[in-house]
This record gives sequence, structure tokens and C-alpha cells, in this order.
Amino acid sequence: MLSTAEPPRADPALVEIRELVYRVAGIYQPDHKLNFLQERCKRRVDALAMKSLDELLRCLTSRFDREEQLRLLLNEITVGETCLFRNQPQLDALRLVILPQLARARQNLPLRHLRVWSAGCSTGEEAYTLGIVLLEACQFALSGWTFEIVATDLNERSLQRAEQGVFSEYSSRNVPPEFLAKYFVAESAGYTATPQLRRTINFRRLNLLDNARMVFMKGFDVIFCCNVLIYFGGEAKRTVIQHFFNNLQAGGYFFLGHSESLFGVNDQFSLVHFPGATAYRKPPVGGAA
Amino acid sequence: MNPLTPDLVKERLSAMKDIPSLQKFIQPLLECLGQPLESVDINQITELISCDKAIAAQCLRMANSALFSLSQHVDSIRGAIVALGLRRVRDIVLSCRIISITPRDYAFFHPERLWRHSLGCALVTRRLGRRLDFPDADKVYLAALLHDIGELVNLLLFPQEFSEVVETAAAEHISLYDAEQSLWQLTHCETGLLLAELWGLPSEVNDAIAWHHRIEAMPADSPVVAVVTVADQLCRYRGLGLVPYEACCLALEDDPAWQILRSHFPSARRLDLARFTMEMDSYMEEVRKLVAALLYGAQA
Repeated sequence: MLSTAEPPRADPALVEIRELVYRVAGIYQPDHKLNFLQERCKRRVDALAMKSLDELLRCLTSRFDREEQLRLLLNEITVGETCLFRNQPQLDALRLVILPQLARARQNLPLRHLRVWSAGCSTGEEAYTLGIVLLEACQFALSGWTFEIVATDLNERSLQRAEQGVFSEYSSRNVPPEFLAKYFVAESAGYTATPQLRRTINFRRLNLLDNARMVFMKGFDVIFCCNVLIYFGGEAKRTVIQHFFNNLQAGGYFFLGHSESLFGVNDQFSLVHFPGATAYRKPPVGGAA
Repeated sequence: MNPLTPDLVKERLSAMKDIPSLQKFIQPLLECLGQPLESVDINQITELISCDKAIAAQCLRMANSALFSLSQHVDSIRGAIVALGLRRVRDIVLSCRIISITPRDYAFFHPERLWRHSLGCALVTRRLGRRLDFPDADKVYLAALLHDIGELVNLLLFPQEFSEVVETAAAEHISLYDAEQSLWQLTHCETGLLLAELWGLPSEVNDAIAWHHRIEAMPADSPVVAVVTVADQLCRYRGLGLVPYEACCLALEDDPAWQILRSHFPSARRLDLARFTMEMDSYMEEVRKLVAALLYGAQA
């Protein structure tokens, strides 16, 4: 006999917090992730010695330090999300759709060079992952191509760690074994990226709000900026997104974190669906695919 | 391989018993629920559904799932009709009944995949229809539920040939439609339409079956086919496709079906598609659980 048990109903305060987080930070937790959001809210409830989500909601909307409280909640929501090969559908979109598309579009051009930017790269997991994907692609879809990955972050300590290219067992858990053997050396501290992989990445310190430097980040084919923009306020976010738009080649792609959206922030990009992932695309010249 | 022909499909369809017999079940429901609400006899419908205990139990399971967001648990078909309304109960019954005729023992193509896709598409269609202020969004549910019925026809009538289509689609990361075109020059759109005509389904359902892969070739714009086409594509891009992976991308802004919706419904321009896509992921999860429960009686 089939179960007819009643499904649990979401706490209205939790639903309101979800809406607030989406409105302010552009990060959305659908119904099946409400448990996750609840657990992260609970951490803040406990830290603030509160009794309920209602109390947390009031704190996030009307307390004098609500912006700081929201930032702390966003930290909880995005913490622990960094690891190598974290978002496989995004990588598949790059590998199976975007790279072959770029290769076709430029097959008659003399310069076969690809530029990819990992913006807000933190300790480098995304950049090294992209390095592996592109090195592999150069053996197949991008045969005869060269590429460079620019990885930027505001935090110097993060960048120093990123440049070392050493990753723990836990950070490397999603790396396919053949890539682990090919692109890393197992050491006591963890897995260290090989010189071949490290050479593909150019790490730089960059503040995304530094307009003077952002205008020089030119000619990228693909930009990844995952779970970074959620910390920017409305106007700052619009400015940064406009820079990203300008920094992309026509027809280039812009990836956000899995739960992020640009709705209401920028309408020049087109939303594009890939299997299990979405990205934003700068319209190609002449509207051709 | 000899390409399939419409005559061969018709010949084999007429020899089949299982699929055509479904008509006996769905026709009274469609007629009953096609009438104005004030003249519908709820007792008659309740009886019609309740006479098959297995179907009635499945309907209650589905009505109580998170997909329908009922504030109170229902434990009878009559209760479900009161809480959800006749149209939704019709949708639920049709879904359960159609899923129940599916064979389960094809190693190369799991029918669960077809019904996840079809049920997911039906639910996304209705949700999208509501967001767009579609007149009578519930009406398009059946069109979406059955839009790929031709795949069931292909599976039942031509299992050997269909297995090659499935293999080709998986190996080349293409859709079943493209694989059928390339191997047969006849697709599930045509075989599904032959069945739909045999069943005498409503014209908008037939249109959705026939045109959901080439809406741009339709003689006139059809918002019903457009909404089913968009939902079909979104489901394929969010893990409820008929084949594991299609290496392609979809820019809705350039999509002919989405352009039809934008030209008919001003609310389409205001829709937050990124958020709609993320919301869909929640009921994709539910659909997976529910279809497993409906097919195998597993606890969801």
C-alpha cells in the first residue's frame, strides 16, 4: 500500500528569510533545499542565543546591525562549498557545449587562444579545476589551441594558498582518479598540483570594485564568479556585472553559483540553459550562435 | 534497418490491446470533466475512480504529495476533489492510469524515465501557465502529460528498433527525436499522433504531440503547444530528460516557443526565469519519488 503521509510544511519565517536572501543577495534556495537553509539559519539562531526563526527574521529586517547579520547568514549559506570539481554540470557545459562551440566559431581565425577568468577564486579550487578541464580539452575539442586562466581574489592570504596549489583529501574528493594521478603529486600535506597544471593559471590580487583596474580585464571568453556577488549591494553589484559584461568577448559566457540569479540586476545578458546548469551569455555579434 | 512507415505503425497499433484499452478509461473522464462544473456529477466521478482500488490509492498518494501543496491530508477521492478541484483530480487520475499501463521490463529504456519526464513536464506546464496568466492553465496538463506518448508507442510496437534509437541518442548525446529522425525518418511525434487520433483526444493535445519538436513549422501560433514545448525543454535541461544527457544549450530568448509565449502573454517578459528554473528543481525531486512510488509502490 502506498504511503499517504502528509508532507511537512515549511515554517513561514523560513520562507520569508529565503525571500529576503534572494531579494538582497540574489541567492535562492528552492523548496527541496529549505532543510539546508533551516539548518544554516539555526546556526545563527544558536550563535545569537535566540529561540526561533521568527526572532532571526526580525533581527535580519529591523535590527540596527541587520546588514552585518545578513552577511553572517550568507557566510553560513555559502561556507564549505569550495572543492575541486565542485559543480560538474557547469564543467560539462564548458567541456561539451561551450568549448566545441568556440572551436567551431573560430576555426577560420588565425589566433586560437582562449581566456578564462575565475573571479573571486579564493584558494584556487575552481581555477585548478578549469586548468584540468582545459588541458584535457586541448587534446580533443581544442586541439592546437592555447589558453590562459586568470584567477583573481581580494584576499592575499587566499591567493598565497591558491598559488601553492596544495589540496586536502577532502577538497580533492570529486577529482576523477585518472586526473588526480595525472595532475597532482600525493604528499603528506595533501595533493600538490603539477607544474604543468600550475603554469596554466595566472593568480592576481584584484578588487572587483576597483573600476580603474576592472576596465583592463579584457577579452575573456568565459568568466566564472560563483558565490561572490552575493556580498555586494545593489548598485555595486550592477557596476561589477557591467564590468564582467564589458570584459567578455561577444558570445562569451558568464557563470554564477548554482543558486544565484542576475534577475533585476542586468538585462543585457541572455540566460542560457545547459543540462543541470545555467549561464549568462553576452549576445554574439550579429546574433549568430 | 527498414525505416518505419505510418502504415506499419497503424497496422501494429490496431493489433495492440493494452494501449487502445486505455481509451475506455479516459474517455468517460474527459467527457465528464469537459462539461460545465455545475452539471458535473461528483458521485459519478468518485465512483469511476474508486472502482479501481489500486488506482484510487495511487491517486491519494499523488494528491497528498508535496507537488500539490495541500494544507490538509486527504484520505478519500471525494475529499481530494473537494480540496483540489475536479480538474486537478482528473489530472491525477489520468496520470496514475496512464503510468499504470506501462511495461517495466525493457533493459535499454526504463519507462520510469518517460513518466518522470511526462509528469514533470505536465507539472511544469501548469506552473508556467499560471505564472504567465495563461487562461485555464489546468487545461494544458493533459497535453503536456501525453506530449511524448509516441515514445511509448515506439517502445511497445518496435522494441528492437527503438533500442537502437536509444543507443544512438546516448552515444551521440542527442535527443531521441534527432536519433529517430536520423535512423527512421519517422519520430515519436508522428507515431504519437496516430495513437492520439485513434483515441480521439482533444485537438490541443494532438497538436502538442505532433508539433512540440518543431513549433516553428506550425501553420498558426499555438500558445498551448508553446507552453508544452518550453516545459519539455526545461525538464530536459533539469535532469528529467528521456536520455541521460544531451550536449546542447537553450537560450529561451531565441527560442520560437518562448517567443510565442512572449507575444501572447506580457507577463512572460517579467518572469524571473532563473528563479523559476531553480524552483523547478524542487518538484523534479518530488516527481522522481512519486513516479517510483506509482510504478513500484515504493515509499516516497
